[in-house]
Amino acid sequence: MKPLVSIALLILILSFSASGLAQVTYQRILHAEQEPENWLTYSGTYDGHRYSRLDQINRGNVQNLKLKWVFQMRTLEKVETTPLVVDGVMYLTEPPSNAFALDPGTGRTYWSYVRNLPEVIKTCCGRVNRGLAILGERLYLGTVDAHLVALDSKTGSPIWDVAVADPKAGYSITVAPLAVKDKIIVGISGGEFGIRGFLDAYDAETGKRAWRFYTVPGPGEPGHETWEGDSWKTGGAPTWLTGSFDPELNLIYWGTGNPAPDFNGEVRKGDNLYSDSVVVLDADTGKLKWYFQFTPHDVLDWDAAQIPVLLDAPFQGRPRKLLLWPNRNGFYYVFDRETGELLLAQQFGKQTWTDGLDSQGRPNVLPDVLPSEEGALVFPGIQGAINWHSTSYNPLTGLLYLPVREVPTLNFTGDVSFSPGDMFLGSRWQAMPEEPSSAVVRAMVPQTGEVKWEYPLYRDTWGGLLSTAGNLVFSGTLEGQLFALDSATGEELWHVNTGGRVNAAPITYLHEGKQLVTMAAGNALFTFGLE
Amino acid sequence: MGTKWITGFIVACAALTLWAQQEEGRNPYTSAEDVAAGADLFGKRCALCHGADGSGGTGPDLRRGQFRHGGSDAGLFRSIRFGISDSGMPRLGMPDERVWQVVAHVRSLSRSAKEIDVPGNAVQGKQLYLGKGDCSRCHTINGVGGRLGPDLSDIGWLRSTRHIKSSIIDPDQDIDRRYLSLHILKKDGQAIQGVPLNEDSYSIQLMDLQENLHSLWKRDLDEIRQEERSWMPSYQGTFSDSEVDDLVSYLYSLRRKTDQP
Repeated sequence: MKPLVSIALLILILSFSASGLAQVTYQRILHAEQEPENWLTYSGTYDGHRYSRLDQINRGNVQNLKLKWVFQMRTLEKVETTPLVVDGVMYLTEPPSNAFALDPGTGRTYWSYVRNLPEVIKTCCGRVNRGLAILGERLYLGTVDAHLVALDSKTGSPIWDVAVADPKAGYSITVAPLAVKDKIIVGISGGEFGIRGFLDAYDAETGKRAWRFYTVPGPGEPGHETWEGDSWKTGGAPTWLTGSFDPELNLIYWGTGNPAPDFNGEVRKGDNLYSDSVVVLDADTGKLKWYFQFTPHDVLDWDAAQIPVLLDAPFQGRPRKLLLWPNRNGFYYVFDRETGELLLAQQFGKQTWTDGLDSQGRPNVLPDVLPSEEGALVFPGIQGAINWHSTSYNPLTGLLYLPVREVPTLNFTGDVSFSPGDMFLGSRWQAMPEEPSSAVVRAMVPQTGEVKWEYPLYRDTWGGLLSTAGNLVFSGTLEGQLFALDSATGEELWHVNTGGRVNAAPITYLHEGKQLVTMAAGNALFTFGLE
Repeated sequence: MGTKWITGFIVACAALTLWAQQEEGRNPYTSAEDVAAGADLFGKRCALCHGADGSGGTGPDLRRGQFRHGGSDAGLFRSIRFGISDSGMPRLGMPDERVWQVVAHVRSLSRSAKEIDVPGNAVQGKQLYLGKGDCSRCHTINGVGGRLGPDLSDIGWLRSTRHIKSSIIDPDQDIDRRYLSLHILKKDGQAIQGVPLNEDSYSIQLMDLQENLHSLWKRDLDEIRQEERSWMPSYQGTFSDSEVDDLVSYLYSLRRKTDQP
């Protein structure tokens, strides 16, 4: 190519990417790993890896990271958002249910969408939001008043706004939706309010509901028999964390939350399907292909709200389509994600609640750790050995990186009665500050659970992870430190104090050809880059 | 029991009644005197946007008795007392009693649909919008159309017929600053025209006439010129008076429905 022609082409490409905003087609999201300059979906790619091929920032220069800008949010809520970056524009949510487009070069906004909410909103754990989905020229936002809204990506103008459920009955949306083909998949929150959980798909164009899968089966449906009496009507099992998608199998993998009431199982005897499970659904119809329940009849609030990690890799010498799942209950599971066969189930965090799992992965629960009137101490505590925070799989090291927490709680049981829209917990729990607790970032061989390294943290972590081709793992701490580790050794290479608790996971992308890293901490979004 | 006690008892009962009404969200201040006091406050604080008679201006027509952000007494109280985020409706710093009096006055403005005269034919107006006026080149309705002008999906809620009409005939008379015409000249000689989105001491953000977003460092610019005019042309002369009425009628009919479970 002649130099003048190539320069003209470069100018064309740069001017396009600066103002850009081409259509984000399904094909682009499907191959998101091939455009690491962008961040097109919650976990970066459909397989839930939260890994980037970018390597401008690497273990040789990460210590030179400099603050580029800070986006302060008008909120005192936890900031759990994962921004999207598309062709030179960043899209993010601000709690409770607002959205912004901004320039990643300056951190200045192009537009904002501020949602006027009803006075009373029922959320268990803050009026939070974890992010947006994008498809075509539209963004999709779930709101804490349980609506799904399509916004124009250039102006933030709402295009359609549909009610997903009744917020007065305790339903809300905090999850980042997932765009799959021509549908928007969105889950529901409200497991502490006795909702009946479900996962929905909506037509991206019209907002019409395409299918609904109830995570608590109704009369006549398989699994209904696992709920005593009418307990299924208030059974919980929300779907509040974004799932993953296998385009070859056309299957969606989605984790479900706790059964309700959380701590009193007497009023809902049975296994309580499909609470605390992974449900595997046909992407077109929402029909259940297979499921696995990690914690049958849970009374410890151990939502299976983790990012499903899909990995094609040899397992015991044979190539397999794997599903990796470190669960809140302290066990790490590996499945054949096509058949649902359980390949591995082993402890990865400190636990005192079971003396083991049988060959089908079913735990034998020890009686003295269940919630009681006097209170019973259990590891992991109700916040789990891992909570909802993103793990990361790095194909260069072949390792899965995960935050691991060892924090007990003292759990009580008590009477419970259901009233629509009121908390439906069945008693309470308390932290045990005098009990030793700890947390680490761990690098693990996904096929075996073998620990390669651990990076100790001062306190339990609420930060998700990102790994990159620059041989780095990024995350943040409860005290507000953002840090970067060597992905091969766990050596700490960089940290900075933002002064605000980290409740989200980082992303990385290019802006005008330069790699940036963005992470939320406190009530703000921080962006770093090299000089 | 002394007079003091009786007076105290009556005051306590009145306070309890008032409290109970407020708890239920009903307006405790609805007497003729309250309405009159509310009208006085409305004239001073609200008429600039909503019109002296409540028929609207840059703010919505309040005579319809339909309110997007809550039509109950409590909903109106909340909108007036605390404002409505990002809508242009500010919070009014007044004691609760005064706010309730304004609510009483706003209630008294309600008219039946027949009484609110909207001349013109909305069906023909829609044809003019899509055809002769080519309005969708710059305006969006429910996701369809251009982005340089305001989204009109909800314009019937947001503006009075009077304001819609004046925006068609004389768009420069009252421009939202978001839609001023912006001219940028970069140091490299490139000229960009568009509408402003955001600005600070060091950078400016805009949408150009091709609807591309730009964020520019001011150090890279030779000139930033913002003209007190809209990119929208006047349609006086393009449309007859009756066609303007038709278009106004159509636009006034545009009100986004809120889906409820």
